Amino acid sequence: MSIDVEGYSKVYGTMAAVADVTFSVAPGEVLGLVGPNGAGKTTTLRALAGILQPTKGRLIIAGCDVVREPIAAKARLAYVPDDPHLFDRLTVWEHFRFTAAAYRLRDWQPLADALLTRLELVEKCDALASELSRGMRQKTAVGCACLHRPRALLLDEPLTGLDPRGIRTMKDLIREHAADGAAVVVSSHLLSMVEDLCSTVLILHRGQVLRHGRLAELRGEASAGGRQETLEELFFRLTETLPEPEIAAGIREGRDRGAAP
Amino acid sequence: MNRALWLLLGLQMRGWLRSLTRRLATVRGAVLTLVGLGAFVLWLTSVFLIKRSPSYTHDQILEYGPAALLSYCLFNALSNSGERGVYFSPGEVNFLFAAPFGRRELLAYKIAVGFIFTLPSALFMTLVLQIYAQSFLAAFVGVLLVLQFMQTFAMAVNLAASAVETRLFTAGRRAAAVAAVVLVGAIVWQTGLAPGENVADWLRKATHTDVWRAASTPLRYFFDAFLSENLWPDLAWNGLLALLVDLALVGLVFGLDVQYMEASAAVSARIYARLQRMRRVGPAASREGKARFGLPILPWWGGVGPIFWRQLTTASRGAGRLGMSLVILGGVLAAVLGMGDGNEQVALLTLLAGAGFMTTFLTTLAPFDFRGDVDQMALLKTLPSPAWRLALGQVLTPVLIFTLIHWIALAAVQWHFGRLDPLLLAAAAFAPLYNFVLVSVENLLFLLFPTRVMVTTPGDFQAMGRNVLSQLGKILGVGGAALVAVLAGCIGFFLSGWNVYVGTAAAWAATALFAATLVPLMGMAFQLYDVGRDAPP
Repeated sequence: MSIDVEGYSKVYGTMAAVADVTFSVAPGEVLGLVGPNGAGKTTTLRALAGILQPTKGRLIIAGCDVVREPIAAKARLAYVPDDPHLFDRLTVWEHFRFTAAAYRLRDWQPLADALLTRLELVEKCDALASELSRGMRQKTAVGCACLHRPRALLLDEPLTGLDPRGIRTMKDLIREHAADGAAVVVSSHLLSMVEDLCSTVLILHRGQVLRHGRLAELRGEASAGGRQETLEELFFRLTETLPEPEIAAGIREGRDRGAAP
Repeated sequence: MNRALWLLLGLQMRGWLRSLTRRLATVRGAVLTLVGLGAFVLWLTSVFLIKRSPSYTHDQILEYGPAALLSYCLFNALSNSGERGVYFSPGEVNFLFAAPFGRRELLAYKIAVGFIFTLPSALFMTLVLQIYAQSFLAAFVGVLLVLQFMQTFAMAVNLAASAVETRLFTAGRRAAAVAAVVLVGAIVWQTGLAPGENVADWLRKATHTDVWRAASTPLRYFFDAFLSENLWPDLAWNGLLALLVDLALVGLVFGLDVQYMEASAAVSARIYARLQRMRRVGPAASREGKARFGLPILPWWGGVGPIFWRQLTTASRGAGRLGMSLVILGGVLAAVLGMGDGNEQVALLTLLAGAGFMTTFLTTLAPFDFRGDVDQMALLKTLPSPAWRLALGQVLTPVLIFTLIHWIALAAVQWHFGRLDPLLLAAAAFAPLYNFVLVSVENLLFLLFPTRVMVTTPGDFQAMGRNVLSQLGKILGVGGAALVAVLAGCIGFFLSGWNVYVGTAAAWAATALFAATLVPLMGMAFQLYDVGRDAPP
């Protein structure tokens, strides 16, 4: 597996932001991490990226423990946060240049050129980051993330601020990385995007796994018993309308299924 | 340090130069730079040409310098408002924390960035402080090493704080406070307290105790370097010892090797949010306000009321910071009263002039007007209210704040003198008009030449030029109002047959008229303000 999360918990004081979460993402798999606000999606991604320390559990990126071998793990991953901040006084091209140096890349310019072209950043190549729009900043961050061909790609709300062309390019890039053998985790509130892009889905609720399975399995659950629900309706039913005992049962079920798919 | 981080450092420096030169390419940027450079050259000339006599002797610097430095560092550590962790910019958090860099490599990068940013500050401070040193070089080396010590000390404290939980951090701060008390206690015990002894004499004795000498020895090297007479061996030796102190602290920072990234990411997000707030609203918004209470909505007043109410509500939620302006003004008034030499009228006139002049600088602390609404101008444009009424509603809050401050200060002075002075009464009557003119001129300048209320950094000549021009504009506006008031006052005085009350009333009425003409001017400037073109970056 390219990404292995075993019993991951993150506790702030007495509040558990994430509790005993276990899942894996295989090479070529695109996992959609969904859940309402405060479910623990960003906390999980930030822990996988080595920014947050887990309170408990193991986080493995391409065989490297994020806590014990942080540099080796980070060399194999790329993380794009939900609101990517750049270096205000560096140009777009200088961001690529720095990223290449940080990951010790050789002959990176052709790939950087290709990424700039695909992300429609060629004209903004010499623009300062402070002059870029929200969407352009997002594209620059994604371009930099793709430059070292990471084995694990962690994207938090990757489509925010992008125009239709940018959205299509982003989806293509994600699919291509997965096809090249990368494990991709996409956190998003856009369930249509998750349905369109992801092969597996993990629904987090209050820091715990409510469902984890292949998209087809969830669709099957949605249509079980003649319900004919969409994924969106299933999501709302699981996270909003279920009474507390059923949510608890769902969380237990999700945990049992955790490593299964 | 990792080569990629050196590259980043180089690129950041180049980016800083590039943004400076890009701004120079515009007419506004070039003019502001020229004005700023002119002000800097004037200041530099005064530093080198005007003979200033040092206020402290070398012995005094050696005696009290280490104590002042230690006090500053301890105060900084103890008053650290619960912020644990080293600050990284959001870009650094995004790009560096998830990249394959070691924790120590990132700390080395932060120390290098801090050192580079310390250089211009050290240069400026050296220019001011060199009169106390034997040579410019010694002064520069001493100041640079002291500033580096302060930075590394703060970093060491923050990292130590990151290493422990909040509860332990609080306990650690208590332990540091106890250690400081024990140190002071030991010094007091060794010095002895003689009844009726002068504080300065006692401090001198305290700095000669063995306890203090032992505790302050590492800090003394910085001041020895600063006061070195010769390059060799004095400065070389003292500078080396001071450098070793700095390096020891750097060694401690690396030795701590704590998992600081999580705390740093959280602290950095908070500090960044604070910086963004300050960028929008100015220094007064460095802390997030709390909605503890609400003010009752004001009447419509032709559209002025709701605007005034909104700004007043905003101000009431950042009231803590406004206290600072009161403290500064109070300090100035107390100092002026102390210099009175028994001549009350001279002290009073000096005090009024001083308070008025100080207020021209303090207006940045209360930008509850157009200046604080730099990101809300589009919304203001959509409001169904004539521009002049909107402008009036916008400026009333800072006028009210500074008038209240002035009235409190004048009441305190009245109480100090113990009698009803007519000059103070006149000052109280003119205070609202004075503040109205001041705030209106500042807003007029903002609407015509929009910029954000920002803290300037050493070497930013454009910001310096902008501040000089803004200050000049305010002084010209207030000067114009004063001229109109004096003219009208003289006319009233002579026409009424030397009646001082009529003269004062005429001056007041003329100033009010002058102030009133600024309202439509602000309205016109607001209409001219183009949200798409004029919004400052």
